[in-house]
Amino acid sequence: MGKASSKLSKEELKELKEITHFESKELQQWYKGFLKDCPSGQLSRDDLRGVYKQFFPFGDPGAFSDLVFDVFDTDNNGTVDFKEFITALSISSRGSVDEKLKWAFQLYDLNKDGLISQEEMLSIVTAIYKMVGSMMKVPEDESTPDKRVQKLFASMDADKDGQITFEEFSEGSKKDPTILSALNLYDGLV
Amino acid sequence: MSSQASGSGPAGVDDDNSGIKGDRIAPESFEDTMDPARVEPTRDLAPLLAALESPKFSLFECIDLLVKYADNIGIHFRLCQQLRNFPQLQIEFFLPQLVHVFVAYETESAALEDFLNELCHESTHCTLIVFWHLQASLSDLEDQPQSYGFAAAKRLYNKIQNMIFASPIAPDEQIRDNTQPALVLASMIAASTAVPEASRYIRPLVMSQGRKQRSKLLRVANRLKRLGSVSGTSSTNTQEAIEHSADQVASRASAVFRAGHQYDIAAQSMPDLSRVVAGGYDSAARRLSGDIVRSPLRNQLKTNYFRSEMQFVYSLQSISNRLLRVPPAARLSALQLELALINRDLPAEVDIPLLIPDGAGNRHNRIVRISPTEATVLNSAEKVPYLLLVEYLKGDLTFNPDSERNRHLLAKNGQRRYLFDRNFSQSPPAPGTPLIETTFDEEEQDLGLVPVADRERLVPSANASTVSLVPDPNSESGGLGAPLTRAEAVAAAGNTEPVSNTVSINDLASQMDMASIILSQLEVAQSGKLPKAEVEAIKARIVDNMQSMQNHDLLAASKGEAGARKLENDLKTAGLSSSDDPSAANLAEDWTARKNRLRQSSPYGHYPTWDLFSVIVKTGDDLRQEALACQMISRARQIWRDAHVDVWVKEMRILITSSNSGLVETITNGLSIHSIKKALTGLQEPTAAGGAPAKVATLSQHFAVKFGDVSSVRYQQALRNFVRSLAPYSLLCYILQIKDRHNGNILLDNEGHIIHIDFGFMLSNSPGGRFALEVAPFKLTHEYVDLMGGPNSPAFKEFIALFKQAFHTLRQYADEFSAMVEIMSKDSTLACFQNGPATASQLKQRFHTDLSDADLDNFVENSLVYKSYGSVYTRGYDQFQMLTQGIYS
Repeated sequence: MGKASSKLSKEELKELKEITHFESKELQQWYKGFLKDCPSGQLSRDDLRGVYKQFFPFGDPGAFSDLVFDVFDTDNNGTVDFKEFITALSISSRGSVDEKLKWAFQLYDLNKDGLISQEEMLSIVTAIYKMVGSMMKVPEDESTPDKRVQKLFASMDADKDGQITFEEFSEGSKKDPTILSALNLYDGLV
Repeated sequence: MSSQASGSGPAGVDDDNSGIKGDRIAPESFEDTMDPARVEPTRDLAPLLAALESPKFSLFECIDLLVKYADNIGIHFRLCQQLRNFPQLQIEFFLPQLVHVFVAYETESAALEDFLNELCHESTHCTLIVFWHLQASLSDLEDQPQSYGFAAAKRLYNKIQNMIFASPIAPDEQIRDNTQPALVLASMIAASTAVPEASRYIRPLVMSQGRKQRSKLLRVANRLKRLGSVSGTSSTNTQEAIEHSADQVASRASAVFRAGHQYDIAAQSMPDLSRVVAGGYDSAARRLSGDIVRSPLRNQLKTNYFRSEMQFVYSLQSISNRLLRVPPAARLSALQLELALINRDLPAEVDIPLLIPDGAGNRHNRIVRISPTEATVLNSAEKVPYLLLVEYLKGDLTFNPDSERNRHLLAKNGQRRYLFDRNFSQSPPAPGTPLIETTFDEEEQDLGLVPVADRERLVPSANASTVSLVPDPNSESGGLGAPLTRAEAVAAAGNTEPVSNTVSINDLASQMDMASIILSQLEVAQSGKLPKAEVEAIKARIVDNMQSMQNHDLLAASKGEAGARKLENDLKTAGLSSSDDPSAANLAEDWTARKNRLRQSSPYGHYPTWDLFSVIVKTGDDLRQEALACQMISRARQIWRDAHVDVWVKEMRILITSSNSGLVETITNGLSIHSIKKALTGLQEPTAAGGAPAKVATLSQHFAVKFGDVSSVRYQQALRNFVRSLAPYSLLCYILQIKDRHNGNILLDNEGHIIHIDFGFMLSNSPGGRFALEVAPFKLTHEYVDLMGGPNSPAFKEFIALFKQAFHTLRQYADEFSAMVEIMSKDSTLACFQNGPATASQLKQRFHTDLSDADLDNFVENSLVYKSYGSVYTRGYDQFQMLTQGIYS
């Protein structure tokens, strides 16, 4: 995206319009907001941790923040720029369920082998539990990250090979009404 | 992306030594795993979480924490969720604090704004209180339109105004260009598969922050100028001229309303107001929008209530402003005439929030009548406060669209007419008549002048469907059981032909206004050419005329009787032999007797829910300091009550309606010690220039006259009441440094209780500043001690004991009181905070929390009481007041 100027250029707009679900006006508006929150136009790992501290003060969001940062930072350059931000926002708020799941899969597949291992899932769930702390009430059979992971694998890992493929991840998420409604929490609101 | 580079692979998580990995082996309960201590938050919030869970967690603690944690969105949000657990009455009590915290303490969190906004949707009274407080804050910050506080106050003010005056619109749920919540939103979608409950948990906070308005459009000034050029008025008749000049006098009061118009317009620039809500399941906003959709009729009724109420309160204030122009001799007549005019629009959908306790089940009271002849202009140097008696029916006002009266109101929706507005009450436009265009320039807009219909046009959207619910004055007002027509009500009050009366009272109003204008012009002319004697002659004639208007039939009813009765009552109360202070005399009549008398004569008296309320209308003063003092006294009262300390203080309430106006609850059974003494002493005026004043009557004499023999049960009960009230008030005067304690500000009620009023000087300001005469800890005169039977009497000992007990109890709340002062002093213009941050710490010191109980007792006896007892300084101050103000010592 280069240097942060106050408005998106024609070329930038054209590109973003193609890869996101946003209109020009919306893109300019979000860009303005992005620069207000992040005047350099580049969001660092620490910046993101700061954001999570604001939203999850009662737990420790550090680990989750770092995991998510890697999903946002698609070019792996250590910062999140506007393009990376608006792409993530576009998918998560306006994308189809399939788009969302495809994008989300990256969060779990830490070693990029196309599979989610129990270890990988545990690290994500643990990070989330740590982040939310005692504020969230969960049923007894999900009271620890381990229990939650076992439950997930029991329902998603169709072939019981201890790995979840993207297809298993996608099917498993869609057939679980709780997960499905969580995926659509912000539909129509952005 | 490699997990090594990011340091966030599975190994990375384990490195955080969370101990969670260990949990995999030994399955543990949810509580254990989620113990905040074990997940090790970087900031130690365990005490905060424990406090939130504690059943003792108080609303004020919550407010205090809102200030302390203003820097964290998540904590702020959690605290605001907690606010919702407190009963609405408690919230209402602390609304001044909540609004102040909202305006004065900068935060990124939108939670408090959301909370206040929702509260306003739920409670009409809270809406009015918040609205008026915001109005006051806005006028404080008028010269700093770029400040955080101004922007915040304006934003919420706009929202409320929209809710009140525009037809209800579903609250905006759309997420705006806020990066932070957007980042959390995106990541939580990714996390949905792993822990959907976590996504759900954080959604309300994401929405709250996401909805926040970013871009502040301050195009107000320009928009206003354009509107100012709209001029469609063809008639510049006398009435309008009168109104115009009346407005100039009232301009201070109306400044806020003018400002109000601006906010109206600014609201128009808010985007997306009509966007339809989609998706989501949890927010209160959703509940509210559902409510709006479900009950449009209820909302119409509420809108009607808000309009009527604001117009009512505004008219009461305008009267005070208009009276300022009237010569003192004619003020009472003018006031009574003004009130008679207001009376014509009653009963209406009006009450007095905060002051008159509400009926059960969210039913408001309905004001049905103001008794013009019972109103009194109070003594005041530069302003004209006045006292009125308001008749109301308890719980008669609801927003139930199915009630008979409300159905009637809704059926009238085509007719626009506005209450308590002289322009409108004269010629209500026929249904369907186009709105009258009125000149609308910046100098002259205010509620009294611009018909409300015009204000309405400034409110964004849906004006066409906004219906006015004000009933036709000449038709029956349904729903009051046996409905009384307005004409009947007037007839009952005036005891003459209704129709002719209605007409002539309008003439009277014009005459009165004309007279006032001429008088004020004469004031100006006096510095010019007209011979002084001539001016005086004209003035005298006009005043004479104005006074004679008072003899109008409408007002004349029962007048003579009332005078005689007054005298009678004066004689009864405290053995008053006569009275040359009408305000005092009016206050002196026994409240119960007065109520019964009014009930007998009132056309509404036969309703079982009829009741009477006495209120003082004040303009020209910032009453927020008074209100704060009353609030702290009420809080102390609660604390003592809960701890079963047998002391008595009067709960007093003040309704703030702008930065320089408000309604004040009256002490109905009390009389100032000054008045009591003056009356007892006789008619001799104190000689100002050195001559020896007459021997002033004592409190002991008063008690003897009022309560009989010292040994009688009545006397002893009254004395006990005196002691039970003197102790807590003495303590409060010391703790809060309440000054200006001359006898005009100390009352005695008809049961012997002492009551302090007027808190213009407290905490860090005092009359005379550094050279203040009142340096005693509190006022404890020889006279008080004599009344109790001397320093060795049982009553005096009880006084000391109660003082100590009250002190021991109250100082447990030292932190709360100092936090209260600290919070309210930020960015405050109130004089009591003139020492800045030191104000709160000095208050804390006076509680002497460092002393042991025994040491505190010693301190009370040896320092406080000893220093106060007959302090030469107290006496000096009373003598000073006697000489300069004629206030009896």
